[in-house]
Amino acid sequence: MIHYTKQERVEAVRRKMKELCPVCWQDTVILVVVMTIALDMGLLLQPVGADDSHAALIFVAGVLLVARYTNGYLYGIAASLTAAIVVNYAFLSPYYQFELQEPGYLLTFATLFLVSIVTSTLTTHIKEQEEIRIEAERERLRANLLRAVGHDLRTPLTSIIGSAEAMLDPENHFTPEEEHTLLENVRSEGEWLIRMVENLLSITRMGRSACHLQKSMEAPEEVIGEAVGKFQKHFPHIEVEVVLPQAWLEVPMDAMLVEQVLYNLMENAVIHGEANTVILQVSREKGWARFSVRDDGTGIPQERLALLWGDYMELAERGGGDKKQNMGLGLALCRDIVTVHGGAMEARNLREGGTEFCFTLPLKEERQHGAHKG
Amino acid sequence: MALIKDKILVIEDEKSISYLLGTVLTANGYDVIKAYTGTEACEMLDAYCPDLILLDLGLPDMDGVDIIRRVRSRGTAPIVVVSARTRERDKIEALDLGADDYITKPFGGGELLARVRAALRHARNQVAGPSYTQTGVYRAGELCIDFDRHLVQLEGQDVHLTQSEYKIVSLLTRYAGKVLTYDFIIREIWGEKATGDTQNLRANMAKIRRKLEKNPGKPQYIFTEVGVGYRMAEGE
Repeated sequence: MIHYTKQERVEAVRRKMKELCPVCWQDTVILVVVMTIALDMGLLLQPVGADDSHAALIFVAGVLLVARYTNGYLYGIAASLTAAIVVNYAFLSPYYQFELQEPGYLLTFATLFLVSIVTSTLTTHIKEQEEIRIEAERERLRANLLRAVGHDLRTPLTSIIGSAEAMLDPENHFTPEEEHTLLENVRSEGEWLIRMVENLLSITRMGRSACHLQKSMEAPEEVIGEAVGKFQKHFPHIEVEVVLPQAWLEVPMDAMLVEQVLYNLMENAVIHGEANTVILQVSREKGWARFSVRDDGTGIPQERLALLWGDYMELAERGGGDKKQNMGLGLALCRDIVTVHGGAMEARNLREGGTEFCFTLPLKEERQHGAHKG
Repeated sequence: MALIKDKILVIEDEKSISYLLGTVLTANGYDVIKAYTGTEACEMLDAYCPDLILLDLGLPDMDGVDIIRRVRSRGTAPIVVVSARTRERDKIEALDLGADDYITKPFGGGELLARVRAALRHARNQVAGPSYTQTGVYRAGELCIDFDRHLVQLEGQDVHLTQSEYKIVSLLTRYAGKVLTYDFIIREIWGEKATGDTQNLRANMAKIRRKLEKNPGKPQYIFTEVGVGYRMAEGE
């Protein structure tokens, strides 16, 4: 269930206003450049032109261009106003003074205004259509993901139910070793299920954009400390080394999600890379915190390395009941978590063997998220 | 094992989890009684006076938080909350209302028993005297804190802590094994008005960690429960 707080509602209204009349420097540049060009062309053609109608036409074209290539209505309207004033001032007799009595001028102004509104409306419509299309595509992928996950969940569940039934059946006489193996299977399949579910929960927690993140200032050492603690509980025989910077470092993040990233990377190193040692390192690089997870495992085959970063929804589509797919899901999730934080992630095989995954997180928060208390 | 078994009330609506908890606890020498609904739980609380309460917050007929309030209004029996991972806020609320600890699903039998033992021990220490751990000596691994002499030693070497650092460490030690929420620690150390500013606490914790832990990223003594608070390792 989604609850909106008052703050979120105000935010929504502001977003709507911003959507209709967004202000950004790129669009301002377009406005200024196009209007300047129109003015120059008008002035250049003035000595040549037979009458003054050419200037009005040039400005109509200018307004059209501005309205088409800027966002929202604001710049189109600004362009039509500028055009009306400039045409009146520079291109209608009497030259270089304002003349508001002329009925033709009102017509020019109305035309310019209409052009800007109609074009802006069309542009906005095109963008909305595009968004609807993307949304529909997302919905389709989401449905595919759910279906694929559903299929994936069946296999371990079958094994769990089957093992339990076999042991409950009084007809079966198992040796203690057989019984132990069956129970061991139940446990390992259960653990696989819980990992899958943790990843899915993180996907839902993340939503699809940065505004869903529950960010606060966190110390990487604390997040790493907890991730390593949980990891060692499941893999006590794996050697984990942690290298931290001496200086105090705080990074804005959704700690739960970043912890999941670190855990997934460590777990991948062991399950898929068969590593015995994992090294976590945090360092500060200008405006970024860099996290690195290295292992001494088998590394990732070159052909897989290129395919590593699929969209988890696409991965789900590729599907195929392969358990290794969980790695794809886990990694794609890691990458997405880092991306919504505004960071980047990469993987490489180390020359001395093993793999290094590293990701960066920005040290500065974007302006709109106030640090909220934990 | 103790001659008189500790009585544990398990409040959990899922039959299978309840059975699992019951079996593990019984096998380890505890006397277990079970409640499947909030109403049942309230009746049992009055009838049996359990030594410890294991509580799942998601009950069908009642908010688990109300049960914590009810228990706290009449006594000090320790409460260990069983919670799902996604709800940090619930954990904080439960702890602030007086729950003693929480355990996150999925958990193993070993972890469950450790938390139960710690909570019971705490309850007993509390009865022995409220200032129990503030005098005497706390030991865990290579760490040794002598409260009478205000001395902190690591591997036999003196560790110098500032006033606030020492206050934080001794607070965590007094409740060793138990999670303390950020707000609770801040209130205890800097007073009522200081709530909300976790930054200062975190910076202090980082300094403490650098002084007490061999590797601050792999703590042995002070653990972070991200988004909730800190927990000191149980003393020996």
